[in-house]
Amino acid sequence: MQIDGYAKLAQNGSAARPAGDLRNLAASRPCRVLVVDDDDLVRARLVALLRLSHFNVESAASAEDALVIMTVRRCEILLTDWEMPGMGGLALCRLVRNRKNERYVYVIMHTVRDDKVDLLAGLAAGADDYVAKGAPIEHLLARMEIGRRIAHSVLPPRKAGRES
Amino acid sequence: VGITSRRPPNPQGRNEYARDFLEWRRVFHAQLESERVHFVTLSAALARVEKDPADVFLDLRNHARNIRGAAAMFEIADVAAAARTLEHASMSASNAHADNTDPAVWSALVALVSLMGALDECEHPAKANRSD
Repeated sequence: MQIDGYAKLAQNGSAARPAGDLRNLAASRPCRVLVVDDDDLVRARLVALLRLSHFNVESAASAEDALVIMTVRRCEILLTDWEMPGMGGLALCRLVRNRKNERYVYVIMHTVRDDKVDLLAGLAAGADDYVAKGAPIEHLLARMEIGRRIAHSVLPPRKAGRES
Repeated sequence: VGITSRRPPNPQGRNEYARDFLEWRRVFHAQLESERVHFVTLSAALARVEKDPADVFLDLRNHARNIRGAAAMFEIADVAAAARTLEHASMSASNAHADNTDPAVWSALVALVSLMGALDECEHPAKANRSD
């Protein structure tokens, strides 16, 4: 069976090595990511790929589960599907933005909806970025690195040995 | 500032990922077969519907969109493209209040189901050669 671009990327190590200065940033500070997608296979692939790229990854199969996880553990980047049974990614995004006294969460919508109208609706709901499913994996990883950079520039550095 | 030591490249992790990828892809192919059956069921529903087929068009669109997302993630480009065509045809038909003979929808539906069937035969050649 032919191995596709995702696997090739993993095999040659590109997925695990962010470019340039980002490499040092990635190495110096872990970044917590919550992946939300109702498709088990897609979710498993995203989690594995992001772990290869040195993200600390948790996952949820629904927006509701994601909210529960976020109440007990802070995440710095939320990578969420749009269309899911129940609440859906757009509503999740709005709820995350409406949470008071919370640290900023960088939100990336990851969806098949690629119309201009959808993109604007996603951004209007509070998403910081928008990546179409099926876009080259390098694009997703580049956007994740932007998220990591912004999350770390917004958040104060953690003290060694304890949670800030 | 809490600095963790730089993690070295992890060849074992990459190998595991490549292995996992093949397994996920195998599972996805198996899912495509059940999705194909579902599309056949929806095509029967579309053929039977006597009044407004808007609900069937909506089902087709949603289902095609789901397939498109997963196929795109697994880089099965032809399935993703065929699903996209069906998604757009169904949406257009619904917006235009088309009847259940809409040629664009049927053409896209037949193309997608045929493609999924061909993929299944590639994955399971024994099934295609069976003479029952």
